[in-house]
Amino acid sequence: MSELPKKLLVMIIHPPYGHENAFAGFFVAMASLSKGLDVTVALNCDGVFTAVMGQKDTEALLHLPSIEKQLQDIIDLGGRIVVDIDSAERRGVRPEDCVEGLEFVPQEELAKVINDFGELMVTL
Amino acid sequence: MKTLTILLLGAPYSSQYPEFAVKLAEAALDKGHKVNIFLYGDGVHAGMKGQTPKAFYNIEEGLRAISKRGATVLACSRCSAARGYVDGEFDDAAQRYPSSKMIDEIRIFSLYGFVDFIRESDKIITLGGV
Repeated sequence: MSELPKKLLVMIIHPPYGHENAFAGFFVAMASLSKGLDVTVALNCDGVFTAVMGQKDTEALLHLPSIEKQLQDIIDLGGRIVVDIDSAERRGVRPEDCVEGLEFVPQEELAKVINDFGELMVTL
Repeated sequence: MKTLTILLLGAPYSSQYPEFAVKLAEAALDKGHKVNIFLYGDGVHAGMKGQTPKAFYNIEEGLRAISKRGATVLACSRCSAARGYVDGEFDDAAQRYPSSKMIDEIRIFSLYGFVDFIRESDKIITLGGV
């Protein structure tokens, strides 16, 4: 019987562009997905701002990679992305303003995700 | 024996996270566990050669000591290059990027090194980066 892929949870709590954290977390998610790990990304606190759709040409304007494109790449690689709906509502981030393919979940569900992923979680 | 991986995001001396990472690694090694540390973002500064803190715990010495005891320490190549630690192209034979500024006990390697750590880990702890 083949071994199940290792599960990793990447928790993003920082907003994009002003800090390196969200980029760094998404790079970990993409590298792990490309090596066959089962990855879930959770956007919590200010991390929900990474999900906003229509981010401008960040490479030209800020010399930074596009967080929106990174999110899309994670989805395309088969990653699951959950967004804490409570964090999003408090910051005025609506599901209809965000990248497609995200799951907006209540904190009880987020707690379940954290519980399911057990010991393998990184927070950026 | 279990495997602990520490993802260190914080630079030395501006916070206590690097010191805590070394102390945590020492404690895990004392109990017979395997320890990996991945230096990421500003965490790569923890591996800089020639640190001479006057009042603080010396992180360079701490990392050298835990490496000698068997801990594996890698530094992210992308983060290291951005911060001026990488001197040239990847050395296939040594499986590391060359660096005259990083202590020899730390290998500068791609993010896939962290993925390999994840694969073998029972527990991952993220320190710093807040």
